[in-house]
Amino acid sequence: MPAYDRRTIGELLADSDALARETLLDATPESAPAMVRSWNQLVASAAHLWSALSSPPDHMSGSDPMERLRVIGEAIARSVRAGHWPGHGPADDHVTEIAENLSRARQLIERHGHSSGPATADVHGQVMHTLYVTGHATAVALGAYVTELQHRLEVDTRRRQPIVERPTALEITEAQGMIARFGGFEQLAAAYMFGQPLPSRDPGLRAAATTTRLQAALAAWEIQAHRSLAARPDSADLVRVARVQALITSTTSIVTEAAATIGQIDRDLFRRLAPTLEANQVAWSRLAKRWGELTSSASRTDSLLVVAASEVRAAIAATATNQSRWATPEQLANRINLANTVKTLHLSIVASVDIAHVARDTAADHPGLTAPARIIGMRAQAEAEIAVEQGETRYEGVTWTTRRQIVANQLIPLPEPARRGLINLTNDVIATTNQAVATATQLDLSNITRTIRSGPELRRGRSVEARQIARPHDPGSRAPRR
Amino acid sequence: MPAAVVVTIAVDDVTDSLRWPIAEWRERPFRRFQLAATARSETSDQAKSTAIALIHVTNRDRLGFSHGLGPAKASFVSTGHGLSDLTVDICGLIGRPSEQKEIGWAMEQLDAEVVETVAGVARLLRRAAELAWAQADAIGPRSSHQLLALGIDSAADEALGLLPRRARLDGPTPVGDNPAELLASAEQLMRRICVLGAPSRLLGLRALVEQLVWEANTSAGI
Repeated sequence: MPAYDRRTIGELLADSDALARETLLDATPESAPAMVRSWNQLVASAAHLWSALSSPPDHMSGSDPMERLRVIGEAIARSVRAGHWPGHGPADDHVTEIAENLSRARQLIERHGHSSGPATADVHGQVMHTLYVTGHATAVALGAYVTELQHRLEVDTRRRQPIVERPTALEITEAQGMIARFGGFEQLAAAYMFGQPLPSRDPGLRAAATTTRLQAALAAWEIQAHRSLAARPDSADLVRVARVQALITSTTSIVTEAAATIGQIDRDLFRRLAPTLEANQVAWSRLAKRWGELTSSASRTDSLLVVAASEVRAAIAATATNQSRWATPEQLANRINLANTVKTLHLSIVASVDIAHVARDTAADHPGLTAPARIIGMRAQAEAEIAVEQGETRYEGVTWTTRRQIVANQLIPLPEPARRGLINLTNDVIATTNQAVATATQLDLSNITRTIRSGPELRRGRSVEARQIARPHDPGSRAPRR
Repeated sequence: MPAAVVVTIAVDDVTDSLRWPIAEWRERPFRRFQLAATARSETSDQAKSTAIALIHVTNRDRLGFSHGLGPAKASFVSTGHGLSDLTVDICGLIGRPSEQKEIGWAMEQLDAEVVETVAGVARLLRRAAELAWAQADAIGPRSSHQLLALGIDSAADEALGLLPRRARLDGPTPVGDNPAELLASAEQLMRRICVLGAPSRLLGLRALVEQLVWEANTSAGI
């Protein structure tokens, strides 16, 4: 029987932070899959602890930063449960221990209250920092894992090892996708830490950042998009998600251009960024059109998603338009804090990486998706023909709908080729989003941006990481940097 | 006079009429209700009007009462309590608020004509949204038409949300290729059913459509 845990809340949090650092320093390729599997347990523990404390300051309803992170953690867990990489397997001991520490801290707060413990802002900061460092550790481990797989694949191919013994390109792609998701998570956590006032011991060094309507609307949108797609998504829900994301991307381009015109960001940088944002907008729009083809007269968009989308639209209209037209750069500069709005919008693009992955998982796996037989017949056949041309033999001679289904235009489950077309379009969305995020890292998003990386540069030495991750209470370094 | 009017609520599977204040209605665990009003007045027409007006005023926001079952469709029933000479039965069966997940609960008491009109509005809005998105996509990735198109989508969803699940939306595709004109047609239809005493959601939808008509006209040609 384990000894009774006598640690205080402060000690539990300090231990968690130390463990997170340890995890980062010891991150190895082998630990990456287990860390991904344990991730949701950690985020859930952190979220429970967070909610056991009073509300964090300066956050409007619907923009709880922990809720944003929690839905991402849940989405990753759903993906793993559905059999996507890394699939089922052992959990990571370090990450699990951190989660248990946070759960224990929550129990202490629920049992004894929080009056004698550290200040709430400090606890929020520590919890977020622990998540941030652990998320970074996972991304580092994943990067090393991908590098190792790529190396093995190269060597095995050169040595003509049997194909079954080589790593698959799919596994590498999926692990790279996971790096992007953890990268997004990190940026959101870092944005919270950097946007908050310093802990109580260092008051006044930073002004409290007030949440704007746009920030609140975008945060609420991200959470609702995850929830709607996690529940019982209809094709109409996916159309709405894609359309709103396309609008957010357009707005990001308009506002960033205004900031460049006014001279608040580098014009050359905007010239590089603009095409990536346009490509991303086009990719989301194409995906919306394809999902739109699969809707029927019975399709209904989730009412909560409609509300969240309407608020995003209203916030964008109030922020960036004049009588249904985009406002000019001068008008925008007079109306809003351009630098902050650019950051807000780019963080939303960062968060959309995960939404895109969830949309892809939905297209790939969700059993409840149906569409009218006539459009399925056309789409499935077209996708099947493309696949056959690419060497896929399973689809040859297969018919996807019956005559009766066509005559009645019956709603039938999406067959594999129709899903394949949706997955390909979503992969375009993911690729263009990653490109936009990578280009935008050169924007100064509070000096805490990271690139969606996959390659040898991720293999960093212990000493480098030790220097670069700072404690949240360290006023000299302000926030973790890389 | 309002003070002389008693509002009664009858549960459809209970023989006795129950007389509760409207405020308590929401707390009762019954699934379906029949709402009635009793009024005393000099003439039967005045009594009927008074009772209907009272119920509209007290319930239109909460219950989504419709003018569609106004005086013209009212029928006389007895409360059996001798409180008045006349009682006006002004609505059909409605669902409880706890069943709000079922879309369209508030409109279930509407007659077929109103439901069909809202369905027509939904069809117009859906078509207008399709056209607006096509225009936005044709203009390019930075088109401000996306805002209008997304607004029309929301209005279409709101119209669908007002309809019972079973309502049929199949029908001919509305004629026309200009979103502004389709929106104007939808607004015309809304005017027919949005009269005094209409449910607030219906009035809200009309306001939204009016706003979109303005947006479509001011953004045309951008």
